Amino acid sequence: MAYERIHPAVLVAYFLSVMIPAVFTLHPMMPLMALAGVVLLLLLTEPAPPRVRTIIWMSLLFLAVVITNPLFNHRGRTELFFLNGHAITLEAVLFGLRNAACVIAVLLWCHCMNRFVTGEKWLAILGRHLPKTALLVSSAMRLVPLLRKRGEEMRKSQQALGLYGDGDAMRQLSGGAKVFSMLVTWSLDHAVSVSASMKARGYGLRGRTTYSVYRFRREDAILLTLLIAADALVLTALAGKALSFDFYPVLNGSRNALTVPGLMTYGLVVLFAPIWEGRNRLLWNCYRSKI
Amino acid sequence: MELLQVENLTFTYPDAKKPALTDVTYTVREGTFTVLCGASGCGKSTLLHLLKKELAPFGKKSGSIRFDGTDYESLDSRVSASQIGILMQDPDSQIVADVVWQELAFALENLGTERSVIRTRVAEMATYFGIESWYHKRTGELSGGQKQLLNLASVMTLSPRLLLLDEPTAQLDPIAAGNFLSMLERVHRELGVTVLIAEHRLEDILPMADRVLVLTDGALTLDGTVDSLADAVREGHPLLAGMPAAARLWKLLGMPGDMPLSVTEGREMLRAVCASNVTPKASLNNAETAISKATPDTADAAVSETRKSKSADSAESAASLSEVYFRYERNGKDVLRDCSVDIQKGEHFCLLGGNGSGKTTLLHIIAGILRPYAGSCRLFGKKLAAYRSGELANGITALLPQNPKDVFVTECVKEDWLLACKTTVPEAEREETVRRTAEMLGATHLADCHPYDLSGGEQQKAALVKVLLRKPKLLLLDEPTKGLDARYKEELLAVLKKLKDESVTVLTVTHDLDFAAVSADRVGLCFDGGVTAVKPTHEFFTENSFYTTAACRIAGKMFPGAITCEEIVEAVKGEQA
Amino acid sequence: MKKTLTILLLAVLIPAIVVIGAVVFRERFYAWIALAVAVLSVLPLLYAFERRDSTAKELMVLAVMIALSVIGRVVFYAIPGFKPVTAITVIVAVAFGGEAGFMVGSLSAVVSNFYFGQGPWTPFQMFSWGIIGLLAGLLRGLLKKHIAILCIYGALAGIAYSLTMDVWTVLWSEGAFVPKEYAAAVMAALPLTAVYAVSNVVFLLLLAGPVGKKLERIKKKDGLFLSE
Repeated sequence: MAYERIHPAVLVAYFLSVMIPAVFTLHPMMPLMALAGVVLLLLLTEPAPPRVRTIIWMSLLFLAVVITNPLFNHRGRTELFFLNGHAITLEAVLFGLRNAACVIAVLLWCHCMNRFVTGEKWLAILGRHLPKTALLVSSAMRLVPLLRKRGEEMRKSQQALGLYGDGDAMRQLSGGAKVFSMLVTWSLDHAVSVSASMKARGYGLRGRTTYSVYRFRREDAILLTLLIAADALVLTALAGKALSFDFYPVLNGSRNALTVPGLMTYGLVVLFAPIWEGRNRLLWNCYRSKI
Repeated sequence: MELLQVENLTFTYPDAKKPALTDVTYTVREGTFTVLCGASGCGKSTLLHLLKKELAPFGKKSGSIRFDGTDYESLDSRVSASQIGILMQDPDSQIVADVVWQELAFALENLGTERSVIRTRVAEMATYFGIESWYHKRTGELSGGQKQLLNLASVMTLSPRLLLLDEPTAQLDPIAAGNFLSMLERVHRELGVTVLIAEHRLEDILPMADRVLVLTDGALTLDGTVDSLADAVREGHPLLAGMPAAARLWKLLGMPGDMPLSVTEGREMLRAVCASNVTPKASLNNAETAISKATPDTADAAVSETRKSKSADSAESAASLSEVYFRYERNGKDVLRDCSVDIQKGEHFCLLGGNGSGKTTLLHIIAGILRPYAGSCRLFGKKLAAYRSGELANGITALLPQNPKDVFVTECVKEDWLLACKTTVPEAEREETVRRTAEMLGATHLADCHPYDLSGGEQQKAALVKVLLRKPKLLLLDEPTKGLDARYKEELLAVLKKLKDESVTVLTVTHDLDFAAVSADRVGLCFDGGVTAVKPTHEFFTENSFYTTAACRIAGKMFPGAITCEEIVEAVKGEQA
Repeated sequence: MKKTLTILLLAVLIPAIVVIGAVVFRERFYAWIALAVAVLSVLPLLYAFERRDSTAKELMVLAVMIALSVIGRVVFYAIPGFKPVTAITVIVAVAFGGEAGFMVGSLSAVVSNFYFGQGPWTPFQMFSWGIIGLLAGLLRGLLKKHIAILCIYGALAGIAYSLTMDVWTVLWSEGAFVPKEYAAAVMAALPLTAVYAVSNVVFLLLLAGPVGKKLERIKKKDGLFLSE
């Protein structure tokens, strides 16, 4: 995986650079480009084809967002037809389409982000500035599967001793609450044992440092610089009203000298991930064929 | 050089009537391997915790502890944290972080080590301990043995000079325990770390030790080399029960000379006994005679004989599984595959097998907690599916889980006991039944305690009382001897005997071969999702050559059929007579 | 060095990002501000927690409570809105104070989203659950008086949680606060709001007694969170 090589902070910066402009502007090209980029990325990296259920859910969500807007929003001049005495306008429909594309694009980018930036990586970023919080999150994440397993063992043991049974819902619920209460007792006891082990290994001494297996390398520095430069250009274009867009009362996009460079830069940012992925694949095949 | 000097250490817990440690004095030289032994509750843990300043319990303390010449009162907390490492029993309760590398870095981070130094140290440790392949794994996905190795590695990142270990293998299965101890020996030998380890399973640890300390009721009763342990053993010290089979045999036979520890030494001793004997070995070749000689009451063999003839009669079986398949997830792999086993009424059946062989799963299926997706299960002649939900748990089966804490719902042991009788005993008799059952297990004094304030053995006992109060016809025990010392095992054996008199069927899942050898009527081996090699206990152990008791391995071809030290002694006596 | 970096981040960089964002993203000004509010109210509280010396025990007890509330969210995954997270946050806040409540609430969102997926909703959940915990801690004198008061707080917290989430939904889809749309969103979310409120009350009734007692006991026995 080509993304293993990139420092987590750079990865997060990249995903933010893609998602923020798509969400916080109205220019319809932004979410469309984001959507195109993520579909390309998914085609390249997704190990298994998406399940039918996911596609259906996404389509339903898309439709829901598209439909809701014109139903509640009757601004816009180009009236298409009337529903219950309210005008359904072309502008509102298009606005709904933009929103839907944006929502789906963000969801898909988040899906990719969650695959590339694992909990371990988030903690490495967090650890730098919020070391105590990072430690807390890390131990909570360690505890989730452990306590789940213990809770399950307790439930089974109590079932074998007759705490549950009869199948009546009230008894199940009170049985569940009892097991949860047992689990709380065990967990607090466990917390005390773990804290003893932490103290034994010097937790609480002054001047704690934080360690991360991820090193910020030259490649990361180059990528981050490029990313910041691209972001700066896109933001300048936005600030310079080069990418302003209004849906109401009629569709109206402003243009100036920065419009095309702005859009192109954002497009490059969006396409960077799929290109990077493709490049690394080609390189890999090249290496392999040379060996 | 003396690394640790303890002088006249006396310690009393708050609210305790008598001290937990009285007048303990000893020194530990740098680079030595010391084993601290004694029955549970003798003060081993208290002593180890007092030696680790950060974990020292509250209470009244007198006497002094010096580390490297510095008194503990003035010992710098950085020195204490880094130079004295401690490892405890439960592998899970020492892991802080979610990912292995985070855990390895944890101690170094605490001491404020620079990133670049942490990087090298962690890499070093991961390589030394063979952790590389699971370096990026989540700690929750590791096996118990891996977790304990990780804990050892995590402590070792600080390169401590003194390593304290409080029964580190008690919660591990035999293979993981062996791995852990050999890694510990390597750490000691190659890195020169001073080790002080508390253990009651002495079989594997004594051969590594240079020195032994014995604590009896808080007082140090022995301080010397492993050989000097021989005198204590000869006098019948309670420690005897935890000694290696060879040493026990040595004591039982009343042999002179050095105390043997390993199987080889034991075999040599036995060979010497035989050689001094005029009786030709030929007469012992028949296994059957050896068994009848070995066991004082020949009933055992007879019982298994009658069982064999009756096994065809299905009415006699308490639980019978045939061709059972089970998996936890739809797309997961089969945990039980074509698993068939028949547990007969009134017998004690021991199910042995490695980790993940499906033993516990099988137990849960019989307890009605899990449902197999194919195959048939009958309990007392009735289909498992035909029992109403909750009916099984009400006087048919009862399960003592691996972790006895899982049994207690309330904050008071007695409350839990009474709760257990709710559906099984009429109200008027409850108090009396609870009293009698508790008495039978010697648990009366635990009644008013919080379950979490009890020691491991006491918890197990109190839990067993609760389980028995469910009045099961078929009692299911999941690793009932895990982490417990020999004295408790004796007590458990006595309880099992009483249950047999009440013709309660018992099915035990265990790793403990010695326990199975002395208590089971029949033994089965769980392997690869099925139960193979179901045999009467003696047959099972004598026919296996690896997976058998140490006593059986010592007896070998000289006394075939003998599977415990006591049986070997009987056989020897029979021969001499 | 690290401290100055942190201060720089808090005092200069973040406000700068907010202002620049407000200028750049003027078309979606309100949505941007909504995100900024969520992030900016969470961050200082996290930094305050960083600065305080917590003992290993306090940290582990918090970790355990976070893990338990996450497990609750995972176990009741199938029933929308029916989650014990708020109840556990409130119980912790009442026992250990506002900061502990805030940490459990906000980090429950972070940790559980490692299971459900992180996204733009994470900061909002951190904010909402965190503030519910913080407020419960501030009001704990009152909340301790009677279980009924606690339940009322739980119900109100559920309603407030839903109403706040609706505000963000509208801001995000409209880019501005349109009262008519907000009313529609609230109406649409009404059943969910009811489930939030009811589930909070149910879980508080079930858990406040036993769990609260256990937390109070460990607090007294081990002297935890006394600086609150």
